[in-house]
Amino acid sequence: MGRSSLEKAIAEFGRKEPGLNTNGWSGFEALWALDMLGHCEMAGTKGRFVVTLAQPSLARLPGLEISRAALVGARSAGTLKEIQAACGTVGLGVNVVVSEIAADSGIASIDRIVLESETFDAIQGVADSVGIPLTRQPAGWELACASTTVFDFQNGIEWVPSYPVPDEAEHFSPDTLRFCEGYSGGLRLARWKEFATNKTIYALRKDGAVAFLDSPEWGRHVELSASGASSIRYDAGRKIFAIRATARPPRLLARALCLCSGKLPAIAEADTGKGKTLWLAFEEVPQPVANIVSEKLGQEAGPLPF
Amino acid sequence: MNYAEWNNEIAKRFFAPECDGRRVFLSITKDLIEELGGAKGVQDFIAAVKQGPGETMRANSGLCARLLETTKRWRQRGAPDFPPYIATLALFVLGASYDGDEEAESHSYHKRLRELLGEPESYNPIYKFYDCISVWDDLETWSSHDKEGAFGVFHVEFSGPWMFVGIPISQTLLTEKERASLGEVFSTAGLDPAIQYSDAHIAAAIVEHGRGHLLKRTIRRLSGEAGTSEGLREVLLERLHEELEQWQTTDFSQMEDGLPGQFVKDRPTRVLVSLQYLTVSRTVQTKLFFDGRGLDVDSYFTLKSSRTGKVFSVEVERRSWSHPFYLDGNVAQANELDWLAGDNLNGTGAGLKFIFAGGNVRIFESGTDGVAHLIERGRIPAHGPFWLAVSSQATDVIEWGRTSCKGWQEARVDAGLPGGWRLFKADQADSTSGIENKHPSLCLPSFARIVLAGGLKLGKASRYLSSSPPQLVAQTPPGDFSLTCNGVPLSIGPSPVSVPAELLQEKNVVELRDTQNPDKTRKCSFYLVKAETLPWKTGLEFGFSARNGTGAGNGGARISGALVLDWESPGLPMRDSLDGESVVLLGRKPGQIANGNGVIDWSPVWIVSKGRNRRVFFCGNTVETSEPEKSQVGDRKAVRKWQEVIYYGRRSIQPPRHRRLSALWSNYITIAKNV
Repeated sequence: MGRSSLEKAIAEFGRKEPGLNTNGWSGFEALWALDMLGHCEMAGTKGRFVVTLAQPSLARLPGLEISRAALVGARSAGTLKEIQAACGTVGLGVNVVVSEIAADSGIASIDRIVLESETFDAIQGVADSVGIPLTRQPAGWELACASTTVFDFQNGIEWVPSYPVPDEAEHFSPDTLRFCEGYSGGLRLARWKEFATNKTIYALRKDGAVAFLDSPEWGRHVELSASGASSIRYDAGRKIFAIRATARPPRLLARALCLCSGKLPAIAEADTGKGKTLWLAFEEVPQPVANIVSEKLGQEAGPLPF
Repeated sequence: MNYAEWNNEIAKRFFAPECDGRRVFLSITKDLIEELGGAKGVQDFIAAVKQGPGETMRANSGLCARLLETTKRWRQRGAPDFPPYIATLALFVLGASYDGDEEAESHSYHKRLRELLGEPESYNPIYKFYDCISVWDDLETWSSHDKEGAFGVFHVEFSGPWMFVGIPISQTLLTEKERASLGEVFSTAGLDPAIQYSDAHIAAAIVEHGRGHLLKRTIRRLSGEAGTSEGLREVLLERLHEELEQWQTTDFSQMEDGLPGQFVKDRPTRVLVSLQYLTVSRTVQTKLFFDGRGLDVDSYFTLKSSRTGKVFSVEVERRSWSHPFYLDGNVAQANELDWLAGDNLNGTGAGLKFIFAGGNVRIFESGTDGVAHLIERGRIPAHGPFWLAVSSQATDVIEWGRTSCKGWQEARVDAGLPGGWRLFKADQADSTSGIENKHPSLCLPSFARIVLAGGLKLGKASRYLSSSPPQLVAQTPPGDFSLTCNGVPLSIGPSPVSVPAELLQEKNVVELRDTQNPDKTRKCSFYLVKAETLPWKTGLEFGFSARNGTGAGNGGARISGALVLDWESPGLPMRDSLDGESVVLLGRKPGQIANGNGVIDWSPVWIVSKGRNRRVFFCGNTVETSEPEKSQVGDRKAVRKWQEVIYYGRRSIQPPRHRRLSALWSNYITIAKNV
């Protein structure tokens, strides 16, 4: 898929932002938001991101009170009309709820389209009618189960022995969860900017060896898991799963958490006594999903700091 | 041939699927008309145009009046097929098309058109000729907007008094044969399509390498010889810039098909210098790279300097700037190459010819386009700051900088530049007259140009999503200019200008007017398209990720959006979501009851909360398969508890809100009553 098609899609998702630009940092954040919501696939291979639209689907949302499914993936302006028409025709009491998701990104708002009904049978009827597949189980659970673990990720990376990391490289601190330090040995995530191409390189360092990463998110959690630190918190009562904003989850786990509610995480601030920290707070995350995400990240979830 | 046949033949010749997204000029010549219509083709063509389309041929009105009426009727019919006015516009161009090396003269255009039509001799235009400007505009709308550039893109680029003759004359500046030979000229001249050269550089290079390929009049115009029109030279230069930008050197798909006779030339690729000036140490670090954004595949090159025999290597990912050049395993400094004499770097593959340009001056601008620090440019910017590396031989450049540039100052460099080179920076070049002949890259634009920047462009024509229109950049030579969009003035500066949302329409006309010479007003249009009107392309390919978040390969789980394919997830342990102590689970049969954390061998249908505000939630698979059964299971105590919760507790439990679930719950109450 070409960039123009993607931009067309992004413009459709967030039509209220007149100056939308997929270049630069805000554009990257916009893509990241769309990826978390399952609208596109921002898959990196060999240092290059390829962004493609995701296949349209209806993602079951967990919850006991009511059956709900969020529309994710590629959609055109006509998709909503088709679904609304199908709901009217099928006559199974399926409501289409359209709301706006405020995103702290390059997109001002994204339309959240959720089908609600008393049973998933009715939603399945609409899904069949419009030809959009409905996930068998809650999408957050399926995605979290399918995601690789931090240990498998670590076992799969390729180490380059004796690579000269530039002196100006910064290293991720498991204490502050920021890039701020020089190398002091052990397994650490490093980053530096390549002079001629202006590209930021992320690599894990272990003594003299280096492993270049496509996903700095996994790199952070490899380091956190190895150091025994934790960047995640969970409150089963409030069903909020929080993760430090400077150590956000790898993209498929982020999507698993987002598709518990169909919403982007809220930004929450917590005062730890030493200073304020920012957290990504994912809502409506049931205990099983929280457990498996913690397990995949190789970390223990502590109590919420806010 | 009658009018419709001529119209169709000419339209097919210029607007065709293979012109998709490319600029179209109606470069009609007598040769072309004779090629289409035979030896007497010109007379036949003129006779057909004078007669006009069938629907208006009997109308007792002039050629232009009939043309306007035909256009109006065609639009009313929904604009089917090709526009019916192309043959008449072709005749207008033929009036400006001179044989061989004759020079067109705009003042005699009307006289010549009258001659072709057999009208009385006069320098005045034919009746309603000026009104036909709307037909040229319609051709632009049809090609760019209606057909989305799929058959080529026609632009009307003039406004102001000169446009009436300027539009037809500008179609003839390059003949089809000249246009076909431009690739060879560009290649021989070593012009890289990725570089923006100055007008003086383009003109000098084409004059030097275009002889034998281009008409003498084209060479004369570029040279600015006496007797040639300065206005036409500017338009010609603009066309050459555009042809270079659009130049496609190699069609690999056709090469793979083994089609014979394809013109395949190595694309000249400029090796550029990136420069970092370290103010504290007063040193510079330089690297070599090239613009690989035109490459569709990841590539690796081994390149040998034809001067020194040094072997460089460089890697580039498709559609990106290259990585830095390497020499002997280390990043190569740019002074490994000869800055004065230049060099050719010979390698194999990808159809590229690497050139390191030599000269006394190298121009740099602050990093943009994703490249850090200062990057080398082919020309100085029309507005804003730039840096120059100047050899000690070029004292004239230093003198020019001192007298003609704002903020000119030397940046002292103790190490890092080739011997004898100095580094200067300037805030703005005020004038380049006097210096541009000897150093063509030091040349401000010689004509005004409107550039559309950014926005979400749909395809190659000037169509943009209405949610994201382009910004406007006015590239102007020194002088006073005014920029307008839909008639409303906008500011001009080095930065792109946004058009206020309230001014935007479906078709937006931008004009750039030289206040001293309004004849030379430049014009361009862009169209805004609403997202709702866009259909999705059929066969859209969706992306898939692997379990670790990289692109999915062959085998293993594939993830796209919410879908997980080729992967079996375990069932969601729903009861883990519950606080086992505070809920009761109920099954379909009397006696199927357990606490939330109890061990059960049946599927729960209902979850009932304990406490004051009791609610019941459906957790069965489907309503149809969750109907209650009368047959009892378990001991009498369990059956009694099942009845107690459902029947005796019915007044304290809030039932499901939804109709079908509420009905299902009522069925359970009925069964529980009779247990």
